[in-house]
Amino acid sequence: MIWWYLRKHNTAWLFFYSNLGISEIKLYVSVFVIDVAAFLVLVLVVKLFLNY
Amino acid sequence: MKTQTLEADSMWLEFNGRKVLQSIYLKMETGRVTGLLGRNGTGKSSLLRMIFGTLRGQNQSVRLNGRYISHPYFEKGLVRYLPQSPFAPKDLEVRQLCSMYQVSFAEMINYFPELKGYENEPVRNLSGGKTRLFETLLILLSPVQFVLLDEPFTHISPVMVESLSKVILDKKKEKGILVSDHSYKNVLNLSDDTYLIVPIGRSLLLKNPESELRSLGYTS
Repeated sequence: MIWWYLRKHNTAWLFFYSNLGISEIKLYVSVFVIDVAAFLVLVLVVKLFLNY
Repeated sequence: MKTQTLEADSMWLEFNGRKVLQSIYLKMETGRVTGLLGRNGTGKSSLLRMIFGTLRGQNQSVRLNGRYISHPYFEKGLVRYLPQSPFAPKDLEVRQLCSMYQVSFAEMINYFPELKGYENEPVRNLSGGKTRLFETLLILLSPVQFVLLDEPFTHISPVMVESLSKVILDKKKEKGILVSDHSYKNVLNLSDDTYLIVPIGRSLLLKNPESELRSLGYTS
């Protein structure tokens, strides 16, 4: 939904990345992977905190 | 330096069955400024985005020295594009953006001393005109062979337009520059070649721009 919203209403900012040679799909996949990684780290930290 | 040629050929774009661009041809060369004119809605910005590689049409062929390139913006040091709207993240500082785009801030203030003092400021602290000027310079001074400028003179005062025109003429020595703007007199003054997109979506290379623009209904 965020991707759709930004594509529809705020497209110019994507050119900041494309001027650096980064494609839209690469950008969003990277952000998604970082989000998932951050979530997993958070789960790990909470789990460690609860166990010790 | 060997002349580099970037050609856009057979550019065809339709939106929901409505033909915007049909079989467009446009050629850019390093050492030359190419002007692109056309009425509102004739597809100038779409054409620039197709050349840049971020917009895919029904058909397109962009070639560098005759070699086909599917996504020109992926090619390192080839092309950068100035869109019509602000594109730089507002929270980043001017010097950070210069560093990311490999542009010398010293060169920037050499051309526009009024930007001095903004080096450590975030983009949001710049006025609308200064933001536009900074973004235009960011693209224009980039270490690439070709730059595509979509309405670079918008939001800029006449005196700055004159200075910016000088920068464009200075930079054309080392790169190919495409300028599209409704300020057609400035575009004509700068351009070595001028293309007009006519409403049916075709491009014409103008031989006598002033008279042809009048006869084709672009000016009165």
